[in-house]
Amino acid sequence: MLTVLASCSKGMFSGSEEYTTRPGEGYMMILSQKLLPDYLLALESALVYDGYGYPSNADYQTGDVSLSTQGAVWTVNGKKAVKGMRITCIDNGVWKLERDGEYFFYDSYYNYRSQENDGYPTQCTVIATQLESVNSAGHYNWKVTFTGSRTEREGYACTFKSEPDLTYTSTADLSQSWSGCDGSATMYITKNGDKVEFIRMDYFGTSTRYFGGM
Amino acid sequence: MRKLLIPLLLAAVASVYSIPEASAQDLRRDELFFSMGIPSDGILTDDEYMWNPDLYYNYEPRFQNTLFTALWAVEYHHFFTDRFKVGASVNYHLLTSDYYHPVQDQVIGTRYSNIVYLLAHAKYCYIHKEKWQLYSGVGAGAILRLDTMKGTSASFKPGFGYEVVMLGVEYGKKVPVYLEAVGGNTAISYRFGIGYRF
Repeated sequence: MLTVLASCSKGMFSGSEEYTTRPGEGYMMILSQKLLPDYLLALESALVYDGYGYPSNADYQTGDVSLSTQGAVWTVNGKKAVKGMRITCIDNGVWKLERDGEYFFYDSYYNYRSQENDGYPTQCTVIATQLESVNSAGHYNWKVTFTGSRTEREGYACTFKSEPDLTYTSTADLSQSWSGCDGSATMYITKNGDKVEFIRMDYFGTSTRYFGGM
Repeated sequence: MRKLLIPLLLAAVASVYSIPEASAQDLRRDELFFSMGIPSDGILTDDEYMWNPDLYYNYEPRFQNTLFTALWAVEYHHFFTDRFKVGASVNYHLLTSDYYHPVQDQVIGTRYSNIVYLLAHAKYCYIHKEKWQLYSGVGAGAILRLDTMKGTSASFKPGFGYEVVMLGVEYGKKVPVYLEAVGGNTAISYRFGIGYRF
C-alpha cells in the first residue's frame, strides 16, 4: 500500500513515499502504545469513578460535577503517569485531555514508579470520542485526535499529531489496554532546531507501516 | 548446561563429606591454576537498547552486537592455615562491539575492549582434605579497560573490581581441577580451572 505523502510534508522536511524502516519508528510506537493509552486509561478510570458519584479525592479533583456534564473539568491528582492531566467534557461522549508536564515512558497509568522519575517535558492534547463499550468494567473503544510535543536531552525534540485520527479497539478480556489501532500519525524530530527526521506511521489494526525522510 | 552446575556442585559437596580427613603433612600449601570464566548473560553486553524511549539513543551512533571471549586467568594461592588461603589472579578478556549509525543504517566502526582484572583473593575452606576442598571466598582489585576503535581515539578506564566465590569445589592431589560459582563485577557466573599443587 502506498500512502500519499502530501499530508505529512512540513516545511523543510521531505522524503520517500514508500514504506520503509525509520530509526525513530520504535520511539514513535511508544507514543501510540504508551502515551495515548495512558491518557485513555485515565479517562476511563475517571468515568468509572464518575459512575460511583464524584466527590474529589486523592485521585481526582472533580469540582463536584459529573464528568458527563458538558463543560465539566476534572484533574488527575493521584500518583499516576499522567498526574495533572485535565479532562474536560466538550460534548456528549467527547472529552478533551490536556497535560503539560514530565512524562516518563517507562511508566504506565497502572504502574507508576515514583515521583522522581527522570521524564521529559511532554505536552499533549487529545480529543477522545467514546465509541462502543467493550466490557462491563468500563472499557471502551475510542476515536482519538491528538497533537503534542516533547523536549529531550542533547537538543532533541519532537512534535507529533494524528492525521486525522486513530481508532483504538479492544477485546472484552483486555481491560487495561487496546488490541488494535487504526489510522495515521506523524512525528517531526529536530535537534537544536535542525531537522532530523519525520515519520509517518500508518496503523492497520495489529500491524504498522512507516515512511518518512529528512 | 549452567543449570546443571549447581546440582553438580552440591553433589560434589555431599560426596566430600564421606572422605576421611588428610593428615597435615599430606596437604600441599601452594597452588597455581589456569582457569576460564564463563561470562554471565547480560553483564557484559554494552549494547545500547534500540527501543530506548529517548530520541538521543534512537538517532545518535551507538554500540551494539557486543561479543566477548571467556575470562582467561592465571591464579596463585597459598595456604596460610589448613583452612585459609590467599592469592592473586590476572584475568583477561576481549570485547568487540559494532558502532552503528542509525540514520545511515550502517556499522561505521568496531570497538575493541581489552579488559584486565588484577585481583587479590582470600578463600576459606569449609573442608580441606587431601584431594578435596570445599570453599568460599572474596576477591578485590583493579579493572583496567582499554577501548580502541579503528580510525578514532582510544580510551583507558581504570576501575574497582570485586568478586565473591559463593561456592567452589576443588578435586585432585598434584593436578587439581576446580569449579566455582562466582558473583561480582568480573562479569562471570562460573569458573573452572586446572592447576598444579606444590
